[in-house]
Amino acid sequence: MPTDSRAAQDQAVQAAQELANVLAAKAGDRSAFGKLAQQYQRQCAAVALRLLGNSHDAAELVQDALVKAFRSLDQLQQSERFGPWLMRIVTNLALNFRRSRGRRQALSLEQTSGDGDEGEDMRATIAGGAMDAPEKPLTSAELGSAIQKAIDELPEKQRLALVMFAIEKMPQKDVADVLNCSVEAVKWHVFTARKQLRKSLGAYL
Amino acid sequence: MKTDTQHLEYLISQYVDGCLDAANKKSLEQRLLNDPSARALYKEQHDVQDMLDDWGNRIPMIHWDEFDQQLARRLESETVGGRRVSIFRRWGKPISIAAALVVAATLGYSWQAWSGGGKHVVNLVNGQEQLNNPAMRGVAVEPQVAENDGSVTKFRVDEQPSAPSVLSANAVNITPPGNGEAADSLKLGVGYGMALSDVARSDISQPGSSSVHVAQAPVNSPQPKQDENPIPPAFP
Repeated sequence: MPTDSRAAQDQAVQAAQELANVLAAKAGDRSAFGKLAQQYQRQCAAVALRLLGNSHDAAELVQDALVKAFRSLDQLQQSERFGPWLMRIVTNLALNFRRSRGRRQALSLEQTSGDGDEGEDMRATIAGGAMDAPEKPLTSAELGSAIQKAIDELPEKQRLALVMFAIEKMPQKDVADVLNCSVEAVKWHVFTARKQLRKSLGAYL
Repeated sequence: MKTDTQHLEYLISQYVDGCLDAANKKSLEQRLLNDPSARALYKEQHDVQDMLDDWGNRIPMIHWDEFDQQLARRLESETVGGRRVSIFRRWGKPISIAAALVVAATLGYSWQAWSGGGKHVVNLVNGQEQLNNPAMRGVAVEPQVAENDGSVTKFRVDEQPSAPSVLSANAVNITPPGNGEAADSLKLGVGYGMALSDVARSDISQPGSSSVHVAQAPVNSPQPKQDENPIPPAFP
């Protein structure tokens, strides 16, 4: 019990310190914002990595998100909810990035298909070659890309809920804030997403 | 039955995530003890979550020191509520617009000076050149220069034509020569679509005539509608 009390006290102190940093940053203090960035950038990068699939894009996206957050701090209504607000910026940018990358890939495939059979091969690989039942033991990289692909194919909200809650262990309330939905809806999205993954990845289980 | 199974799966999902309330948790655990199919459902979801947990342990390969330095550099040029605007950026646009206007004005003035005070001058070689302007079709006056001051096309005739001029125009203004011009030079203002052959010749031979009304006898070019004629006929 004393341990719980101490933990709660630490949490309260941390929350108060974070709020002070947010308020200072809102007043234009860059070093205060730097502390907030330090606090959240790893979690943001982890979520971005799960959504985008590679670290380089994730790092770039988190930089953009932090700059955008600093610039938009005056629009943050609830200063005590900085974390979910920042994560919403990250996920929005990630979704935009995925859309533009999807368009680029479609264009690239379109151009490649004009060159001969290579386009068909590439399309087959991207479209599901990796999702077929494995005939030999998979490396962790192969399994990783199969999981990434299965997650990429989930509907948007299910994907975000799964990544933020089931993988990155963010609190359900924060995920609900990011997705602008109820906690119950988050639970449902996670449930349906995991069920879908069970179907997609059944061969690997 | 399906709904019951789905409800059970939903409860199991929350149980796997550790967010099932106490009452539901107790009853679910009781069911898992006694129902093999419920245990199978639990195992399915647990296996998926296990796989996600393993996969989720992958850490982004980011050099955080480099990341922090780069972020600090980027933030230097930012302010809360918008991008920080340097004095050059603030005044750059108005200054460049003003500079562009000055350059355009200078070029325009230079062009005007170079092209003869704004008048468009076309040399007709032996009267053979046909211009796009319908008012100048069929011109057979030579030698001459056609000038267009924007409102009226004029033919400055430096010498009296030796042959009858055939102008497809409905009006000719013969104005006294301007300063510095030869005493016998004349200017003809030409309208659209009328013949002036004889009249023009006789009037051109009279230096100093102010204007002449040309008989409306259409020749080669079509008669335009009245409201299309930009030049009202001039009368003495």
